Amino acid sequence: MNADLLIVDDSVAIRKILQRALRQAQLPIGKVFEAGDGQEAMDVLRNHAVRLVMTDINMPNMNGLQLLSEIRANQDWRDMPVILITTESGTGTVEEAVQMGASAYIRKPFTPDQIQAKLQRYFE
Amino acid sequence: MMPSQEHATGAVGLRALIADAIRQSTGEVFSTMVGLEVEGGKEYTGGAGFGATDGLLAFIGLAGSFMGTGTVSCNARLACRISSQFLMTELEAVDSEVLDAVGEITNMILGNVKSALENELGPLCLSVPTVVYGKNFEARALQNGECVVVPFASGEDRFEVSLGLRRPMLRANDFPIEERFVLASARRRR
Repeated sequence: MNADLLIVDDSVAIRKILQRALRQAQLPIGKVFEAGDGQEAMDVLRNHAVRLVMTDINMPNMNGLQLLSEIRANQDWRDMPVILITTESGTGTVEEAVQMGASAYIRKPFTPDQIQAKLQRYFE
Repeated sequence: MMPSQEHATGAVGLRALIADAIRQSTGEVFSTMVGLEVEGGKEYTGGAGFGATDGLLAFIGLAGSFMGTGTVSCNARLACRISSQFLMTELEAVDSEVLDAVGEITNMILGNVKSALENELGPLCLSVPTVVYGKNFEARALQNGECVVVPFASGEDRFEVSLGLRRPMLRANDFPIEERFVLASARRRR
C-alpha cells in the first residue's frame, strides 16, 4: 500500500518542487498533502493517516521545530519520520532538531536525486 | 575570541568573508535549483540604500551575534526567467508565483550565507523573506555601516546580492552591574 506524505513549507514554490521530485522518485508514495506552516500541518495530521512529514524550519505561525516537538509529544505520531528541509547546515539549529528527534535533514538547495536517496530508507 | 574570529570580524576580513560566502552560496543555489550558471563579479561596498530602483527587491533580516539585512535585487525580466527555470513552468509577468520563487531563492542564498558566516561570527537567526516589486522606488535599511554588494551576470541581465552586518548595539544590561554604576557616574559628571 502506498504511503501518504505531508510537505510543510511556507513557500508555494518549494512545495511545487518537492511535489515534482516526489512524483519522479521511484517510491511507493500515495497522496502528498501540503501545509503552509506548522499549524496547518497539525490540521492535516489530525485528519489524515500521514506516514512521513517533510518540513521547513523557518516558517511563520508555527515553525518546523515547534511542529517536530508537537509530533514527538503525541502518542499517535511520535514514531513518524520527520525530515527537515532547511538552509541551515551543521549549525546549532540542526543539532537542536536532531536532539528533538528529527529523523534526517535535507539541505536547500537540493536535487531530486537527494530527495529520493533520503526517503529511500523509509520505504524499505 | 579565537584569533581567526578577530581577523574575520575586522572590517576588511568581514567584507571578504561575506563576499566569498555570497559568491559560493549564489552559485550553488543557481546551479542546483535554477539550472543556470552565474558568475559573481568583484564586490563593492554600498551604503544603507539598496540599488534597485525598478524591479524586484527581496530582503531578509539577520539577528544574533551580528545584525543586519541581506537582499537580492533584479529586474522583472530576469525574475521571470529565474522563476520559470526554478518552477519549470513558463512565467511571463511578475505575479505571486514569481514573488514567491524569488523570495525562496533569496531565503536559500542568504540562509547558506548565514550558515557559512556562523562559523566565524557566532549564531545568527534569519527572518522570513519579504519581496517588493515596483518601479522607481528606493529602499533603505536603518542601520549604520556599509553593506557588501556582489554583482552577478546571467546572460544580458544583471542581479545583485548584498549583505550589511554590524555588531548589535550594547545595552546597559549587557554590562556587569559595577560597570553600569561607573557608566552612570561618568554620565552624571558630564
